[in-house]
Amino acid sequence: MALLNHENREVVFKVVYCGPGLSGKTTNLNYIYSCIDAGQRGDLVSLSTSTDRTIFFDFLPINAVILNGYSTKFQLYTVPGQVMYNATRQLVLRGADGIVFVADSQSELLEENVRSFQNMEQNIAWNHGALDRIPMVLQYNKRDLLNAAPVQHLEYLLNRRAQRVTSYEAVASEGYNVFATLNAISQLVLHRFYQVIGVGEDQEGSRVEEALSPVAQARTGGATAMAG
Amino acid sequence: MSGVLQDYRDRSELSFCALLEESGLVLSWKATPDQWQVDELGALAAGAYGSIQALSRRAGETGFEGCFQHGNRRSLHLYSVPPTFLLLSIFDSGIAPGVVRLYAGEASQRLQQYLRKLTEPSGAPEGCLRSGDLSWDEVEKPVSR
Ligand SMILES: Nc1nc2c(ncn2[C@@H]2O[C@H](COP(=O)(O)OP(=O)(O)O)[C@@H](O)[C@H]2O)c(=O)[nH]1
Ligand SMILES: [Mg+2]
Repeated sequence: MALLNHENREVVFKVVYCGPGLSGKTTNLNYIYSCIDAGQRGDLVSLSTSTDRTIFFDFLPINAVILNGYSTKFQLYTVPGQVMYNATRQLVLRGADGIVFVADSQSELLEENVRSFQNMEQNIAWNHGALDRIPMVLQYNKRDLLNAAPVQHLEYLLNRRAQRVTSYEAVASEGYNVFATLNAISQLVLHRFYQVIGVGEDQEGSRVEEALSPVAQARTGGATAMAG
Repeated sequence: MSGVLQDYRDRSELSFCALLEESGLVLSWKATPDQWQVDELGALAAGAYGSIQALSRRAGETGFEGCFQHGNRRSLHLYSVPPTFLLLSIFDSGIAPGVVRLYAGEASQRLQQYLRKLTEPSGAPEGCLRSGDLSWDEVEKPVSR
């Protein structure tokens, strides 16, 4: 649930990175953290085990830009992927304004992606009602690996609902399309926010661009061109 | 809302208190001049509160009011503000938890009245919360400088 804070003149959105264990969710946040100026973000908080596996969530707050005198902030979370952490996944998904589903492209893991996606759908139903009502972007990660399944195959498995969503091929460990994914979800979340508060479509267009330019500028090095 | 929190902070002599949504978003907070990473505290507090609540449910409890951590230097208190909010309080360990609990209960009651207004249909639009007494017109119009 977006939060409009009158006192600090800011709008805050919560974006949750979901997906199976080891698909690269934490890697996405680490990369974003390393590219954004310290002044534009908070610390990266990781609740993980000594072996680096997320046990509750990773958390990274970032600032976008001033919109109509309100600063927009995005709070990025990741959930733990392993099956046993379902209760904590449900908690982290509470009040999400947007979702990035990070799939592991490896052919051997296709079924795991599907199971994780279905689990996410159930958890969202438990929290909100329906996935259709929350903006989502798909990220097919680990495209660098030789055993990566064809994108069409992943699309067929994860993106064949009536309302198809934007998807990106990514190599999170090298930063490829990490910011493209973040920009896409931020745009969708802002778009939805303006719909909710009833701002006209054309007015909104320019504002969304404006809101995201700092995030876009924060990209440093690495190939970050948009997919497709 | 801000006034209620300020009043609560003053009476309980808290170092920090915040009203947050169970998603971790902080609606309002009051603190001593210390540096606090408010976003971070919100995310951690909501996670801790949600976890303890889920644990207590599995232990067969039906109601849940919050939880308390007694520290050597500072203690923590999480208290529910139904239906979907909570109050995080951080205070010197010398302060009696009972006092904090008492005032937290009062503050929770008062905050619920404000929050009802914010979340009812004529308040904030669906899927969005607002803090303070902002009129929606104010957001939709570009702020002239
Ligand atoms: N080859 C390759 N490895 C990746 C990529 N993204 C992440 N990894 C690796 O996959 C492992 C798990 O990543 P992590 O972000 O911890 O997964 P999480 O469980 O989803 O948070 C780590 O060893 C990463 O370095 C990628 O695009 N390509
Ligand atoms: Mg992780």
